[in-house]
Amino acid sequence: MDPITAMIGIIIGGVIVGICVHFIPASAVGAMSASTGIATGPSMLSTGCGLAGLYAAGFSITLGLPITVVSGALGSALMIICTMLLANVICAFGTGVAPVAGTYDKDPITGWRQKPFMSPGTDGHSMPTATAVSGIIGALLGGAGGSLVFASVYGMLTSPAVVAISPKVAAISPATAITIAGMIAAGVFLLNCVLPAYVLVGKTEGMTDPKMKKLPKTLISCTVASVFIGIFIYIAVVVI
Amino acid sequence: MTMQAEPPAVEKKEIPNIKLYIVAMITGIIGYYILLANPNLAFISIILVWPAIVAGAGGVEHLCRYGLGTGTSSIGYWGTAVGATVVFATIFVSSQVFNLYSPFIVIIVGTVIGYIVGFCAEKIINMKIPQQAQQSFIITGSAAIFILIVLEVLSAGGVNTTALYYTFPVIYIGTALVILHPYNGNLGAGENQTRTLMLALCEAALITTVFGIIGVLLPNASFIPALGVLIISLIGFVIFVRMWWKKVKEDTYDVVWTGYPAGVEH
Repeated sequence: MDPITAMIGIIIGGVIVGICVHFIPASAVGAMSASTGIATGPSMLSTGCGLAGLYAAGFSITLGLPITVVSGALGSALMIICTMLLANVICAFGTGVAPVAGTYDKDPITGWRQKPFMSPGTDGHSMPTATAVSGIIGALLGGAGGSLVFASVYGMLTSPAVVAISPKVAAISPATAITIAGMIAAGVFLLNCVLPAYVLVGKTEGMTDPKMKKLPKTLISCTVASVFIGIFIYIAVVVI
Repeated sequence: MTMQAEPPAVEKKEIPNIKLYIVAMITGIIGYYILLANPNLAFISIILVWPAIVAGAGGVEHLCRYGLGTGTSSIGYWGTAVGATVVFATIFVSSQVFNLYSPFIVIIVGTVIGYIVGFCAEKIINMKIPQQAQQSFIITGSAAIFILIVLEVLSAGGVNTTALYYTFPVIYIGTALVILHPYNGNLGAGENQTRTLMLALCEAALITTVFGIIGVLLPNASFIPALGVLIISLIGFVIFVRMWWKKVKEDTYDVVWTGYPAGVEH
C-alpha cells in the first residue's frame, strides 16, 4: 500500500470509529436495568467490540484490504450480538424486565408499544429491536474502522516504498508487523472512541437517541485527533 | 454519571499537576540518557521514571473529580493509548535519530496530541472541566515517557526494540492500569491528593516489578538490567506500601479486619 494512501486510511478509519460509538447502546445505569443499553460505558464497550474485530481482522490480513475490513466488521458485530443477546436474556429471565426503550413510543422497526412495559422511574431496560439493530450497525462500523486502521498501518509497514528507504522497517518479520500494526490500531481505536463518550455523557440508546444530533461535534473532534496521529505515524515510519 | 457544573471543593495545599509533570519529564529524560550510556544502570532509570506514573495518576484524578461523563478507566486507557501509539510508531524512526532524540519526540508528540484532544473536548464538545487540555496532555505525555523507558530497559538501550514486539500489549495494559487505578482505588468522600499519589507510587513500583520479571524470563530481553529493575522495584514497592499504609491509617478513623469489631455484642 502506498504510504500516503495508508495515512489517509488511518485517518478515515479513526473517524469511522468515532461515529460507531454513537450507535452502540451502552449505559452505566443499565447495570441496574434503569436505562436502555448494555451495562457499561460506551467507550469501553466499543473498545471491546473493536478489539474483537481486530482479532478477526488479524487472521485475514494477508488476504487483502477488503476482506480484512469485512472480517473485522463481522468479528466485531458477532461480539456485540452475543453481548446483547446475553444481556437481554439476563434482563428478561433474571431481572424480570422486558426490553424497552424510553425515547420512542413505538419501536420504529417492529411497531411494538414501549411505554406500557417500562418500569416507573426508569428510562427503559435492555435492548429492544431498534436498539439492537443500531448496536449491530455500530459494531459493523467500529470493526470496519478499526480494521481499516490496522490494514493501513500494516500496509505502510510492508509497503515496498517504505521497505526500500527504512532499514528498521525492512528488518521486521510479517508477524512483528502484524502485532505492531494491531497495537497501533488498538491505540488509534481507543483514542477515537473516548472522544464521543464526552459527547454521550455515559449513556446512549443508539441511533434513536436524541444525542445523535451531536454527531457533528464528534466528527470534528475525531477528524482533528486522527489527522494528527495519522500524520505522526506517517512521519515516524516514512520521513525520519 | 452526570456532569457536575460547579467544581468540587479542592484542598488548597495540593501540588499542581503541571509541576509534577515537569519534574516527571526531566527525570524521565535523565533516566533515558543514563540507560543509553550504560544499560546496566537501568535500576536508576526505573527510579527516575516512577514520577511519570505519579503525574499521570494526578491528571486522571483532576479530570475524574469533575464527573467526566466517561469512566475513570476510559480516560486512563485513552491517555495510555495516545502514549503507547506514539512510542510504538516512534520505534520505526531511523536508529540515529531514535537513540538520541526519542524521549523528546515522544514527549513533544504525546503532549501535542493530548493537548489537541483535550482542546477539542474543551472547545468543540464544550465540557465544563477547567484545565481539561492541560490535564489531558499530562496523562498522555507521562504515559509516553514511561512506556518508552520500559521498552528501552527490556531491550537494553533500544538495540532490538522491535524484537520485543510480543511484550507491547502487556506494557500497554499494565501502564494503563497503574495510571487509572490510583484514583479509582481512592475514590470516595475522603479522597485526597497525597494518598492517591502515594498509591500511584506503590503501583508504579509494582508494575516495574512485573516488567522486571518479564525481562528476567524473556530470552530476547537483557538479563542484568532486568534483574536490577526487579530488585529495585521490589524494594521500592515495600517502602512505598509502608508509607501509603501509614497515610491510610492517618486518614481513617479506625482500621478493622473482617468479623465483629472488638467490644461489640454479637
